[in-house]
Amino acid sequence: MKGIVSLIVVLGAWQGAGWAGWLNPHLLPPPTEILQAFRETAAGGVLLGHALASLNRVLTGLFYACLVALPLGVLAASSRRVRGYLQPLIELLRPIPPIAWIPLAVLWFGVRGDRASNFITFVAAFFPLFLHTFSGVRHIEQLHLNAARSLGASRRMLLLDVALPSALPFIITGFRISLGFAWMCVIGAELIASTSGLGYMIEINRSMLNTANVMCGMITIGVIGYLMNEGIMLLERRFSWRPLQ
Amino acid sequence: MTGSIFSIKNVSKSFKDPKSGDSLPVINDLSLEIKGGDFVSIIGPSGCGKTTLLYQMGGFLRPDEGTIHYKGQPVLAPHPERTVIFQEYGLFPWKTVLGNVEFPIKARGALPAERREIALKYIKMVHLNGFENSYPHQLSGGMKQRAGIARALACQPEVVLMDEPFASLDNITREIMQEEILRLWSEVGKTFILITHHLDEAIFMSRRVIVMDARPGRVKESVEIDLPEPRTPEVKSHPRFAALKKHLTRSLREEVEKTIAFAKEPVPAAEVN
Repeated sequence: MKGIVSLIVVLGAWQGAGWAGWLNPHLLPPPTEILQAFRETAAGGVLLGHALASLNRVLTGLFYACLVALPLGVLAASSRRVRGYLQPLIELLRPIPPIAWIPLAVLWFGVRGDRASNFITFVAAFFPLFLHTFSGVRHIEQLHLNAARSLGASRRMLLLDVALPSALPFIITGFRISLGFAWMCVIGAELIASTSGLGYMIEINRSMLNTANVMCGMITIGVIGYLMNEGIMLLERRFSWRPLQ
Repeated sequence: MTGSIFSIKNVSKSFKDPKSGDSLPVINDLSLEIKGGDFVSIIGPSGCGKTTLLYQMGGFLRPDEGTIHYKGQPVLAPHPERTVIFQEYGLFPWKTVLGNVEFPIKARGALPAERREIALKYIKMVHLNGFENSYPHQLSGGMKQRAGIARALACQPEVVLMDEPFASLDNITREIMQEEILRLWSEVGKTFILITHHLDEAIFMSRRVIVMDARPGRVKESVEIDLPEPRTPEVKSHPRFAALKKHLTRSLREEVEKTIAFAKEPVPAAEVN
């Protein structure tokens, strides 16, 4: 309730300032104009097309990140030797923001097509997913491992029936963080290295001084990011075997 | 000794103190023979190494010195034939009761349909039918324990090693579970080894009670419990029960007093009991 009140107050003041002529509409168009921009971009399917392009890149990057990060995380958690090899590498690469990879991605993959952006979302999604899988598997209770061993579990069962389900709540959290991060980074990638997507849309409208469309794109980015996060939180609650407090 | 299922000879074990790096002896030159089919309790003051001993028998820890043989073979790793019921049961919280009990059956390679059927048999044995699809956190302490026992029995073990399995149960549930385990013991005819610091429990349930010295642990004495079988709660008012309890209380008390003098910290009253 309080959230809605503050939203209305801000929007009202903003609109009021617009009507009073205090705002330069090229720099900060009032809400009604942004609404109008929504109607226009939605009508032609332009907005949906850009949104789907961005989502597609995020999901592609996330898919490949899962493919690499999950097995690597499990491996690093269960083998001291693998951990020894991987740790310095990961620790050196991790502080590099995914958007800092954009120039390289452009050189490698060009700005046409999805590959540069897919690469950026992969980089963004990889680290949270890897680290959460790693710590999920590392946090298996010794009691559960001992129980499994005294019940005759094979290595395969230790992995599939103990390690992975035990780590699943961590992994889903990692997945959620990866998704959010990849979503932020895909927009960054599209600003520079793409010819479609919401990032491209706000950048191209910026260059045409079509500020209402820029903000319409920004709001869409926010809403989609919010919905994805809420969706995974539902999933987290559903698949968490930990009793909820 | 004939008929020994476990043969423990001159076992010593120490742990490194993580802070000082000093070696802390926990078990010192312990020898023990356990007969197949017996119900044996091991009691001793806190920190006497009884859990360490159990973990060594289970194959989770190796002795520093000495040997542990199971059926004539050295114990090198855990095996479902010598399964363990842990203090907190170690149920997998991400699996239902059925999933937990199926685990050891799956581990030995049974097909899903067969798995289910065998698991249901054990679930019924511990009177947990109707709760097959419940998760551990939905169960009471006693029910969790039943699930843990069903899972252990599903290993078709020769030996069931129990590490203070009643520690987190209230008194009434504890007594009920003691009787349950005795019933299962006589049904399956296997060897049960119980770690406890509860004297009444040890006397009531066992054919033999092993008293351990204060740290570093060693067998202080081994007492045959010549009470009538099958054990019913009435046994506790048997004059022989009182006599055994008196004897064992004194024996255990001496050790507990040593630990108090040694560690200079109070030991909870429940320990002496």
